[in-house]
Amino acid sequence: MPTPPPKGSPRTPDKFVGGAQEPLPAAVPWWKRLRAEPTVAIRIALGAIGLGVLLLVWWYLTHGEVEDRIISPNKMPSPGEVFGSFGRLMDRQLGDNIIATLQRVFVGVGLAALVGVTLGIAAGANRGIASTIAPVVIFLRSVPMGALLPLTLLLFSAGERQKTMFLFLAIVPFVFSDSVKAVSLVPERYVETAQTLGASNRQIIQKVLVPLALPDIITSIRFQVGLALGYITLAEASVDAQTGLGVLITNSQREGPYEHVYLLLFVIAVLAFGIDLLLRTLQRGIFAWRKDL
Amino acid sequence: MSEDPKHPHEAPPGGTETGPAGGGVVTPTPPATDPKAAADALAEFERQQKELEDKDLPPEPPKDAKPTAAPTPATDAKPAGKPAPKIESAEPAPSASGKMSTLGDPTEAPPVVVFDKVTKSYNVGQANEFTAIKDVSFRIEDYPGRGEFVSILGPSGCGKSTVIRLIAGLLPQFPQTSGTIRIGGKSITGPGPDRGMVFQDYTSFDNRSVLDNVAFGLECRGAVECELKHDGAVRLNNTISITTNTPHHFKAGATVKLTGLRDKSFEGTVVIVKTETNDRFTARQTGPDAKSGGGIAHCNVDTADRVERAKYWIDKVGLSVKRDADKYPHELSGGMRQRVAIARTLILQPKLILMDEPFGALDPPTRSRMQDNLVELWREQSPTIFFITHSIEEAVFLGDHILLFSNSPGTVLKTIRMPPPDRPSIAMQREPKFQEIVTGIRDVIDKLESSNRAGD
Repeated sequence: MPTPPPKGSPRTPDKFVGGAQEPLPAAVPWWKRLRAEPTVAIRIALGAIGLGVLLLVWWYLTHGEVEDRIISPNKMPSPGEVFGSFGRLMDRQLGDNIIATLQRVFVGVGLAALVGVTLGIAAGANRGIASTIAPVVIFLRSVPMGALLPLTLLLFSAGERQKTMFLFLAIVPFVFSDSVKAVSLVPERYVETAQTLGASNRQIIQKVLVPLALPDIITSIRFQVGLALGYITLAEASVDAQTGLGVLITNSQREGPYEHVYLLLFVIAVLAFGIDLLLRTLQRGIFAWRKDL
Repeated sequence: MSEDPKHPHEAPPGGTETGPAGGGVVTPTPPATDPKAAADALAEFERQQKELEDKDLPPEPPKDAKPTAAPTPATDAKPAGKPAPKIESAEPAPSASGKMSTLGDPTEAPPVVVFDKVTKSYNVGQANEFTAIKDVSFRIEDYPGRGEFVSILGPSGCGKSTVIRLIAGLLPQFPQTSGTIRIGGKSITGPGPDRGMVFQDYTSFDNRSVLDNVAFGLECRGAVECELKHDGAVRLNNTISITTNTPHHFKAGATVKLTGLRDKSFEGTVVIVKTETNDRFTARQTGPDAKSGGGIAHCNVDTADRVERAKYWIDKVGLSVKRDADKYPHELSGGMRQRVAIARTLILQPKLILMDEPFGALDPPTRSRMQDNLVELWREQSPTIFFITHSIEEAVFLGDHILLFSNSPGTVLKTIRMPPPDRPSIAMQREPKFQEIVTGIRDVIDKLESSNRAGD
């Protein structure tokens, strides 16, 4: 830059307050500031406290000798009993069942993502396609989860394919809608800018719309993975499957041990949390330019 | 609002459906503004201008202010004793007719931009019909070696953006309802890289680094195609010299694919060794000495070349290649983002650049630095620039041609010629003469706005 900014006179320290440094006003602590985020350590500690309270309540309701308990062990075993039964759960091929369930989730969601995102991007870029697909999507969105099971059983009869299609049909309309929305939300200015830089429609989709919409699309898929884990246990529990976490839960409820019903819920929660954490870390790494993920 | 159903200017040449077809709909198309108030304002402004001119011809400012200003055609053509800005009536301005000698005479080439009675209305024939601009006519000539800097100034809502977006070919302003628009003698069909645009809002692609933002246009362009001159390929001692019909931007190190040549021994990919002129380059190619013509050269602007060119432009707009090239938009200030936007447009070297209040959201010091940088770039690249601004100071400083717009529906009220800026923005704005011109234009706009309010 050839034009240097006009030079001001060098700063002289302000002289109007004499004497030593006064004590500085105290910073407002985070709990007094609306919407202020505490540090990670504090957040984890607070989470641990929340979990601790829950366990404490649970322990209180189920402590003592069997006859003295507030809730009978046939309904709710104590925390010690539940977590103590982990070894026996492992003996029931917990690992294999987890793998079976996760496999269904990933195939189902993967298929839904493939179809939903592709169609969603096409529909986001071309509103004619959106209008064409809209009736199907509205229909699928309003099909109750409980009705989707008999429907897929009718169409595919019990088996792996039925479970995959159940997940696919349950998830695809939501992935589609979120993808359309993500593409639509890319500001028109970006499209106009790309046009004046000579980008063709295809290039605008490839280089502008998709990359800018992708972080939000991935967020949508992330949520759907969490939901899918819930849906698939439902499908496994209600259809006579051989493997899967849902089968384990149903069998535990029917034949015991009851501890495993509770323990399996924890296993599912931990799995869901772990998968979400993994996906979110990946997402943050890939889309480093999005500071809000 | 006066109810004047048959405005003399109505009845567009194309005979499109501007007017109410059935006659049942009331479309009040009043004269642009209260003619009397506007006329008063203009008369007064012109008087002031004349006074200024009589008072003192400004001494030619010291030229050392900007020694870097390179080969500016503006300076050569400039006679001593630059007169104060003159005003021409805009209405049927049949070319600027070289009234101001700063630019020399326009070339034979078709004018850069012509607007002939251009009107843009929305919801034609409906109750909520709205006319954004009406009968806008102006003409920006093609001057030898230098494009004009056209500032578009006017009260808010006067259709400034409509004009610029019509030139850009952007919806929903494009196409016009009636009238003719010619860009370089041709009508346009939509947006294109020959008409770069810089918006007020920050439009850097968030997912791309500064470098990739700047390189975006080149990335989209892909291979550049150039037709070879007749006998345009000559091979001597395993070196070929290639002449193309149109200027290319092939650089040393870039690969060029030659196809469709008469002598098939020329076909294939060569690496440019040296660019002689903008239409001739030499490359290495083994083979017997020969000559061949016709054919097409496809130059792939490959990644390396793209990166190099992007870096050149990053530096040109005052960003640091080392510090800023790998940054993402969210790490940049507003001024830096606009520099990216300007670099991204300039890298394609368009003949026409459209700027819709590009500095509107910047703080004043940044703004004047950007203005200086823009003037410098404009001198060097000499595109024609259309620059919309709310700031009279900015329009007066930057523009050598000001289109003064009036309000609802917008129309060109005046074409004002200004001397091109010869000093940095801040220095120039300190001058009393500059201030007087600004005040003069401000009075005109104020009168326009108050007359409009009174009319409504």
